[in-house]
Amino acid sequence: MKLKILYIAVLFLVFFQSVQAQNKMQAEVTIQQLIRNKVLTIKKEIFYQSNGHLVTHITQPQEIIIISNSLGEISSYFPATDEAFSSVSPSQSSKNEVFAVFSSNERNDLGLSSLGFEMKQQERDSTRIVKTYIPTTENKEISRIIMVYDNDLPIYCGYFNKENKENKKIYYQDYIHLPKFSMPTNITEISVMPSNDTIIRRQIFSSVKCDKEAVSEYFEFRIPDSAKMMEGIKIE
Amino acid sequence: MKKFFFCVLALFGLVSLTYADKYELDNNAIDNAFSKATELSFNNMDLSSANLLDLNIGTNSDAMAMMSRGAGKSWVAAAAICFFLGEIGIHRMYLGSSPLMWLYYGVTCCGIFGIVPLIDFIVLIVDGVQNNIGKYCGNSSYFMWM
Repeated sequence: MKLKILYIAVLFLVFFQSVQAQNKMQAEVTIQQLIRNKVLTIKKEIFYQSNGHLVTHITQPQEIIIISNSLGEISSYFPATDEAFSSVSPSQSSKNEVFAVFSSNERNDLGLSSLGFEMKQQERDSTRIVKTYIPTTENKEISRIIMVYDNDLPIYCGYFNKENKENKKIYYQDYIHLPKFSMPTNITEISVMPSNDTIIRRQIFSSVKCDKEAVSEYFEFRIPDSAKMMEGIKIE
Repeated sequence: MKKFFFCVLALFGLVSLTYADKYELDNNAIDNAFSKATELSFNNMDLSSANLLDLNIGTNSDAMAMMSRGAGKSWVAAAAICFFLGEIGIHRMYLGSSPLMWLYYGVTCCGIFGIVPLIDFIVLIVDGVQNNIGKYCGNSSYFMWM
């Protein structure tokens, strides 16, 4: 009986922890994607609250406002046509937003342990630490992931496939040091596709603001009731 | 002897340099690649397609997508089972661990007098709220949180 009471007490503790004050963060982001000598450029503003509520305002090439949460539930609104659609995609969870990863305690492994990876090996260099993560359950696509840290900040992440080929490299550069956390403002991802095409994606953050400095009406953005709903998409 | 010392020193330096460069990006090469590329127009693209939503660059969204396939376990169900039947490890079987886990919990006096299922319950709620129980699925370690 006492044990059950202890369970309930823990439940309340977790609940009260979850209703603590939420921190706000915002930034402007430019994303460039290069493939076969063609480059796509997307510009967006992100408005993130530590409860997982994320509003992404894409300004280029077309204005789109995307509201997402930590469960991967997404609502997109197209102001030009006053249309909206909803979708579900776990991989697009707001937890994967750079703000979310680096402002939380998942910065140490960029969320790998919570995704079912465990650290298998750790090597130490003079200023760098190289950690190797392996999936704890059967995974058909990833055999291991290496994370490299410089002064406790992740600077490199490499994905190895089942053939032990490194088919994805992510570089974290140009860290800025905010009052509560540090985050990279230049993230470059190089992926080798099965067709041997290489895709380079670069994400550059600017005008990063936190807490009281982060003020925008987009934090509370709601899709207008007048918006015409399009057919939803569920991405597995 | 001096030559040997300098050779070892040079080799060590070379290895260190290679090790360092491997994890550093040649930003000039990347800038050049972007500047030489042709800018694509979005006029003919379907902006409402799901591909456009793939904006979580640089995080482990790919890993999440890969790991989430086939998991399909509810943290609420796992925590509820743990609450009522945690002492005999039924929640562990629900999460896909060893089928003999109930035996381990039983032999250890209900998981070391209820302490293990209590911690299981806590971590299932804490990580479940964040939808992060993937690491407990298929985990056959007695202490799933270690």
